[in-house]
Amino acid sequence: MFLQHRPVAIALILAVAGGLAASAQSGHVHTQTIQTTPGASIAPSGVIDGSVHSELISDQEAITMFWIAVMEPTSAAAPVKGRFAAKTGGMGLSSPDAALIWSAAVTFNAQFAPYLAQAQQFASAAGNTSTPSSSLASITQQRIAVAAAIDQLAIATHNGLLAGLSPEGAAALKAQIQDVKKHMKIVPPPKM
Amino acid sequence: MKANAKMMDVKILLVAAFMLVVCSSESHAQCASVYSNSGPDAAGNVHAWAILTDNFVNPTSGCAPWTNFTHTYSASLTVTSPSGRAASSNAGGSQTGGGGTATVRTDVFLPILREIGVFTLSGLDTINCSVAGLFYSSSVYGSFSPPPPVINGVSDNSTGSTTIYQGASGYLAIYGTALTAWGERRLLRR
Repeated sequence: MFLQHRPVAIALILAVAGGLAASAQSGHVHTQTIQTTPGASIAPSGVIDGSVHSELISDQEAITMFWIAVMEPTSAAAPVKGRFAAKTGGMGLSSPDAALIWSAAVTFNAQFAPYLAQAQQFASAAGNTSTPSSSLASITQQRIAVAAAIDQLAIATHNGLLAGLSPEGAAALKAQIQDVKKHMKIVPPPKM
Repeated sequence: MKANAKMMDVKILLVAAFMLVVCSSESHAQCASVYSNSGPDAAGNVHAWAILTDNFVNPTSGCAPWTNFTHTYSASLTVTSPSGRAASSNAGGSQTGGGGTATVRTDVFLPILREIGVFTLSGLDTINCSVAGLFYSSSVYGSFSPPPPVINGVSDNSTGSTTIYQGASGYLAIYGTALTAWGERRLLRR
């Protein structure tokens, strides 16, 4: 009798365990309450908080975020250069290394803008009720491709820069990426 | 009979383990990411920034099948000085459909103006989904205290010598800690 039901029992146990594990790791955030008390963390469960678990945030995610943070237009004036300095000031860079990172940030900004424009264009098309449903799958694929291209751009910028920096500068940039993780949060998909 | 039962057990274990891995990896899928931090420049300002990336690129995220949702997201920041001076900024956006990406970034700065004490950083990041509702809302907060500048010495700006001869002309350099890092400019005096 037990032998006959054992497979079912095992499957049931594992299914329950799997459900519990997935439930513990994913976000169930449908709260309609917004607390704005300064200092009160209202990060929902399921969110990866880099200040607690930076190891759960990938280098790719942090690298993309870093370059989005430091990218600036070529014609940057004093306040803009100041914020770049603030974002990289803790790295202790030499002047040549700082200049290289600035140059890469400007180039990244120029290359990133068209991707964002494309993403917005695809978003508009996807949200347009006159867009035939038969086109939606193709649009979705293109949007995924744009997102992947942004990640690739960030990685290419980062790796290209690492090769040009001094050993100290390269080490500082790598350390900075790890520091970025500590100030990041990753939000999981909402349950639908 | 026993052998068949054991084989069945193994198969069920493998299938269940596979499902467990699939569920776990999917639940780590990224829908959005946020990054906020603050720091001083070398010109006497403190800067703060927040970035929110709405990134529904994973077709299995549970969002991709919904092609008619709209995400509205916003990031806001305020830096307040010890005396109550404040500077604020915010950025927002929205996107419709599944499998896309969008980014908003907001930057703000406040001159330190030699204030000593705690500068606070506050703000709010939110993402609202037309289907799932408000699925992310997190306050941004932080504080920092610019250390007061400490002058350690005065020297000849050209030679670095601390011996100043009577009748000589040139510039003196004042050196110490936090003279430039927190916004107190290096002073040169005749």
